[in-house]
Amino acid sequence: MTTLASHMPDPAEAFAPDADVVTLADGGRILVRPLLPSDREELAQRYLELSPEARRLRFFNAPDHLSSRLLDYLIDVEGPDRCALVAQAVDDDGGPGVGLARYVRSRDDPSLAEAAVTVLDAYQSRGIATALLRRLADDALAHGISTFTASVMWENRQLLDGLRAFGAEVVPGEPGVAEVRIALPEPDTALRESQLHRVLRAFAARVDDVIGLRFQR
Amino acid sequence: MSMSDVVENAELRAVIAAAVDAANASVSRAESIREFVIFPRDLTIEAGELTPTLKARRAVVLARYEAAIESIYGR
Repeated sequence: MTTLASHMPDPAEAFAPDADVVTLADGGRILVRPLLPSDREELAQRYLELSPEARRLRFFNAPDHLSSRLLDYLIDVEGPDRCALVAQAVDDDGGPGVGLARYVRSRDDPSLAEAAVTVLDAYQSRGIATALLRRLADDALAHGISTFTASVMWENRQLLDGLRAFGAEVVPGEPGVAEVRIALPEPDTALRESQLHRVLRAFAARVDDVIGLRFQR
Repeated sequence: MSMSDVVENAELRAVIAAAVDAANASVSRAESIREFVIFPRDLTIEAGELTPTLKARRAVVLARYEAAIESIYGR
């Protein structure tokens, strides 16, 4: 019997040149690629699979399903002011989408964008959010966005402690919420040496759960 | 039917009350929801109630609906 596996295309090829295959610390692989209009149904379905806790940490006041109006908003990433990236577990059956990160540029200051990331509960703590954020930061830089800030619930204490240890500025937001500001590195600065990279490592070191990020100069 | 009629519609309130009761069955009395108010529209980014990535800005919502929320405690 011939094995089909050797004839399978590299998963990244299907989306090249916009897709990256990232190998996680545990050896698993994910495909990181832009969100597409055809992802709409899966997005609605994966939201239902998120735990109430994960939804709350992502949206703060989370609906129990995404209405068609919310889906319209989340799926529309046309133009230079919005970007959304999907992480697909390419080695799992059907290559499910397991994480999503996005930014939306500020209307008041084009160097600012708010970003957010979500990873399905079963896939957290594997570095998937980190991989998404790293690529999201690259895309943001390429579109002239210079700083980001995380909006994180204070109860996410371990995350906040980790961020502080890496030099991120944490200020009180509205009740219950901390704002974490991180300058994005200049495009010619090695990401490895940057504050961003250290912060992303801090993200990776703890639960890769649900955080929000906002860019600010 | 206007939205203000809708939010006071007895049938709608009954549906939501049933959902609230179901949620209350899983928490202590101290944590339970005893009163609720139905907002006449969804929270929006335009009104500043949601961030561009759809996080709720609780302070804005509480300020906007202060009267409605106060009315719960006056009941």
